Amino acid sequence: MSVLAAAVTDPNTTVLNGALILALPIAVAAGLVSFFSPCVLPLVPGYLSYVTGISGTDLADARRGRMVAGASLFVLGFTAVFVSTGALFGYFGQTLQDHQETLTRVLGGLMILMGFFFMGLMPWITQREFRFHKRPAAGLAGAPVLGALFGIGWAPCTGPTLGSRHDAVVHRGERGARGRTDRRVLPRPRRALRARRDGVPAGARCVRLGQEALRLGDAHRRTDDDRDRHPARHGDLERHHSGHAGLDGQLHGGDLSSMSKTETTDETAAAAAAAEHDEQEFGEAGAQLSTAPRERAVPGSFGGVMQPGAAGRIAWAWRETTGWVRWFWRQLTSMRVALILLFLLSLGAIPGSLVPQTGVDETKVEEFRTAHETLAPVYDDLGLFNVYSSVWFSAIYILLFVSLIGCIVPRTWQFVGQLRSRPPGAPGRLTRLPAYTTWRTETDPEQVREAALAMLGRRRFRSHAVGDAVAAEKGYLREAGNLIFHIALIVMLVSFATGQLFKSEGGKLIVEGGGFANTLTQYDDFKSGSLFDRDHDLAPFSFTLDKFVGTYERTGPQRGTPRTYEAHVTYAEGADGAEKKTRIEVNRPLEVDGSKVYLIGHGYAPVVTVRDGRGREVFSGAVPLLPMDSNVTSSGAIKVMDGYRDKDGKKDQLGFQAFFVPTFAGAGKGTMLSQYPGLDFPVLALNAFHGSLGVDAGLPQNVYQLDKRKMKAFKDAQGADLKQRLLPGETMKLPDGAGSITFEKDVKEWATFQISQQPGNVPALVGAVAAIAGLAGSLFIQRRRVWVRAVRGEDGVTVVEMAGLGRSESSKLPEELADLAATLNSQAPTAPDPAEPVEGVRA
Amino acid sequence: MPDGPGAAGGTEKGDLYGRVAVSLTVLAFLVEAGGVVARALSVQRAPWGNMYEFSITFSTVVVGVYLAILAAKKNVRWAGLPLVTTVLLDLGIATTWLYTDSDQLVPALDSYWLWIHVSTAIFCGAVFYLGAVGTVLYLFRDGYEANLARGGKPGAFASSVLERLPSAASLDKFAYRVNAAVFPLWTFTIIAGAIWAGDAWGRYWGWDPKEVWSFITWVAYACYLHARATAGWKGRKAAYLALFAFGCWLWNYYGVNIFLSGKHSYAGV
Amino acid sequence: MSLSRASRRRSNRTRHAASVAAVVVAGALTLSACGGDGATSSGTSGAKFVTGSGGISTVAKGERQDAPKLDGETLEGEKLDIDDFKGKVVVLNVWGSWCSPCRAEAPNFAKVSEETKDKGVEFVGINTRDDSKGPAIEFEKQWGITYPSFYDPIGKLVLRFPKGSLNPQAIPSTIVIDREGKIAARSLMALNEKKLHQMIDPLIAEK
Repeated sequence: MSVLAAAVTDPNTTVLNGALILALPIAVAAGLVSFFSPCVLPLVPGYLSYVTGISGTDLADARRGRMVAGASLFVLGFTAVFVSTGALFGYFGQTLQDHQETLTRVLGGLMILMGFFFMGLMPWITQREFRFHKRPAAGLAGAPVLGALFGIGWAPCTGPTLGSRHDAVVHRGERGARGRTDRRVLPRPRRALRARRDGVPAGARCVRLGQEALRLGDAHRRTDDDRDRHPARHGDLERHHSGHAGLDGQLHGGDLSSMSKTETTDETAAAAAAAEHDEQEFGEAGAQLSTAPRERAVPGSFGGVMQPGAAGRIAWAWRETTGWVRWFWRQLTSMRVALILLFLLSLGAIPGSLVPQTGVDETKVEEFRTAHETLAPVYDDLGLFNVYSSVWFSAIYILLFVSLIGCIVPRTWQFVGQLRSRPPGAPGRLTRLPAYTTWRTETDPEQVREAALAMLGRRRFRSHAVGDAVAAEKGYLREAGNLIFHIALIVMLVSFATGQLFKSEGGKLIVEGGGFANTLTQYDDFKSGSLFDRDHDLAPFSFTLDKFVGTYERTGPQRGTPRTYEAHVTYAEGADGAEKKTRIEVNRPLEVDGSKVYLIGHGYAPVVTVRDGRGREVFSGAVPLLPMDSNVTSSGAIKVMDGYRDKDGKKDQLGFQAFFVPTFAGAGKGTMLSQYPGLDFPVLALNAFHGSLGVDAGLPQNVYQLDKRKMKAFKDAQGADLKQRLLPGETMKLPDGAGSITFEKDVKEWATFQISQQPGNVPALVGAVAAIAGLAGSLFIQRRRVWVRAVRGEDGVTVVEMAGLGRSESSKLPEELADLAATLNSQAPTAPDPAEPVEGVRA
Repeated sequence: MPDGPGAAGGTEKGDLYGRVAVSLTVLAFLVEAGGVVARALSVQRAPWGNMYEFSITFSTVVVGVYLAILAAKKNVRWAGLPLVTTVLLDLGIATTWLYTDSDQLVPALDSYWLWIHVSTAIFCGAVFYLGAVGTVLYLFRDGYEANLARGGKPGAFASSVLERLPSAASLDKFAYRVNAAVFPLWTFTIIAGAIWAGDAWGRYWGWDPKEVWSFITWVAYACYLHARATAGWKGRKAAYLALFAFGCWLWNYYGVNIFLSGKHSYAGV
Repeated sequence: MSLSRASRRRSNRTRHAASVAAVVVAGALTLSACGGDGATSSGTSGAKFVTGSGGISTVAKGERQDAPKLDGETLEGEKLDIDDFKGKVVVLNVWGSWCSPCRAEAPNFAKVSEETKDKGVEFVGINTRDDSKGPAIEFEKQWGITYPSFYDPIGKLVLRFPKGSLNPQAIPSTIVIDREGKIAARSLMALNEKKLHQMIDPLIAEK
């Protein structure tokens, strides 16, 4: 009874936590609420008409049975949708929960994006209309389909109530039948149960909605207007693309010809003819000022007419192939293709950062391969583990560079031609240029021109006098910088390729006291470019590791982060050169004879002594162990291959798995992991095996791993595998007089080095510097032309006109012209004049 | 179409508010710059060894560049609101999620290249960001102008905000100039990084995720500059390309540091 | 106009130059794209030696380079110098006690070294990458190696081989020096008895 009361007074709790039998009627009530919402109710007549196939006017005469059938099918349609979404979300509830944060962020971002779309961003995507022109047939056959579409399409309206239902079920499903509140993932059977539980309330709600539909269906039989209504059109929000583009062109076109169209004052035929003449001069004046390449289209078939006979066929085939080759070349060197290739290059580089790469981290690739068994072979085929040396990526950058060269070489010739020829003469009417000024002076035109020539020459313009004007041009460095930049890119690429072809790189782990001579026999791993000669190209030098010093932060939240890494080495050039001491640090490699030695990593090598049953020493030395974490918890293997005889005197081999921590947490602390990278409390944990190590057959074996297939573990007194934790100086005794192993009071350190040599570094650097300089020049320097015309006017006074022309983005042109005009004006001062002055600077 | 009257809307009261806003921005810039200097003193090295330090330096530089352009008497006050809002966002993220206590450098970062490579990267990012702000505002303004040209009536948001912005052509030019001006410096950043990698890691280019994404950003901006030079790409298409390129830069900074692991992960982030 | 014709002629020429340049660079780029991930290069510079099947390289009599001066301390602590063996065929074997293929070929070397001793063949080992002498000496005892071996932990002896000669590049490597002290053959793999004989019998036959 109290449960019922609770259900009435607190429906929320009942829905979330209570018994299913009580939740059902509440769900039904919720359905009722949904039905009477403004989203659903007004559309009922239309839907009813559609699902029954009866028009509004005929509804009055319709059979009740048909109405019921139609409405029921409709209800069935959306019931199917709701129940299945409920079941689906119930099933995936836990997964959704786990990724809630990510989902929230992604969907939040999506919402912001939607907001932008609403404001009008990207109208050519967002204001489009996509319509299915197939509609479910009106009538009973279409009723379930319409119901399903209703269920999907009206999710925003039905969402709040339906969503809370789903949420309730997800939570309920989590708790499981016994009502536990732990949120760990449930075993499989529970999931199915959860799905079913969720389906039921959804179904109940559907029933309620459907019932209402049926009832209203009866009531609406008399309604007149039951035409199917479509959702509101977005007509007025659509954009008109053509007009838009036109506006774009007008606003942003830097094209000089468009500017000329905007101003005409005289409308006589003569003026029109003069305008045409001006156009032509204009074109010449602005010729090649913009060095953007022009597209050249090649129309039609290349072979042309085929002459009869074999010779004709061959000739035609030849023309056709050369035509296609020429066409292909022109396309490749066009700016459009260059843009596409550039974009593809950036897109193509993306997978290399998301998929593990063999060249960067081999172990990650292996992990990926084991974790994704179906995906990994696909990735292999696509070359995704080696993106930057894959065929398709290489194709992109090779094509890009071919296109680049094909564009740069003609442009270089073009530029040389410009340098050799003179700046073009002044157009007839200077007034139409973007920067213009004029004044009258009493100085001779000849003198004005000379003064102008001198001044422009001082300002480092290339100038010459032609006719009644002086023509000058400046800013060639822009194009020169552009060409230098692109050529430098080619230089860098060739240096990079040379470096890759001739490079060698290898690693070596050296324990303190050990050393390395630069021959192939000494490397732990080695790789070299295709043109590297292994007999010839390794530079002869050697070095020994005297001491490795690593210091770490002792206190504070950064405890354990490394502060300094130093390797103290003694090196010698050649087979017997003089020995020199130096330090190798992480950012300071050793450079010797064209090779570089880098300090890469470090670890510990505890010193152990192994004795046989008679106490004879069979092995003594430092064993390097590989670190597993940032506190240098290390593991490895100790192998005694020769010299050991068991208690019966038979030859045998020993193997120990070693686990070492430089700073032990302490016994009983629950962890074997190191607490600090320094040697504060070293502990070596060992177990022991004997038998055959598997090293005598000839197959190379990993030094740090024990192959136990042919080995037997030593057992301790209780019969368990023998293992012991040793402090420095302690000994682990092997049972039955088999011997012992001692952890000596000495732990050596080891360091890994990378020894590499790579030619072509200097040209790459030179190329890089040239690229930056060229780039700066091509972006900052403006190319412009200035003309000065001095003509004697009718009244004997010289009229001086100055005009300037630049590329459209230049804004400094008017300022520069004003500056030049001021200088010239000082030498050819303005004549006092009763008439209106024509002075002015138009920009 | 001529430039709009500016963020102040042409009224005196608006102008007063605008000047108050700029003064407060100057004050905030000084305070934040002081914070960066204090952090540098606290860690006794260049203050950009982890993401928290990058973020505070980055936001300082962005505001600094904006104020510098204002001081050069250019009309960029319209950029103030989006800029300051996003700087606030950046600082919020930095102090909430990215904060780490002061600590010294790890050995790999102990080099004079830290001053050169990272500072130029931060500066380039700040200026690219300014260009991106210009580009986004350009897109809105361009839509608004197209709407006007068609004879439509823009809504309340458009007429109060977008109408005050400079014309679409000016915004487009501004964005282009800013992006083109800093592109050589970004090239230098990548090359300086390569030289430093040669000393620290033994090879000057190893396709580490951060190297890859710097390269992608560079190529994307190169694509944008090329597209701009070809007349047909002025306007919206080029603007989208610029936004894609800046998106690459953002991913390079946040995404690669947080989601991808490589040689550039330090101090957890 | 004449200007445009000239430019077209020039552009044909420059296009030709451009295509040649493009092909050259594309060739270099393709090579770099196939950049060696561990591609082993055979020293084909000058091709002074021939690598036969089975990885054994031999040099014709007239083209052999002088062996380097190899002298130092053996594992037993005695002084040794290769020059003492002038007039004999010297078989140098680079090995390490930790190296599995060396362990596999060791019994072969022990046997052949005993067999050919009276034919004027001296076997000398170069033990390398063993941080202490102990394991190396145990190795010799284990496999019955009676010939001496230099103790060369960091490989400085190997460094003495001149560039471009048949120098040791792997462990195990076997270098055979003829009676005149010149490098005659090299194997970069472990050898069984048959292959070992193949290497040294022709040189024993030389006078």
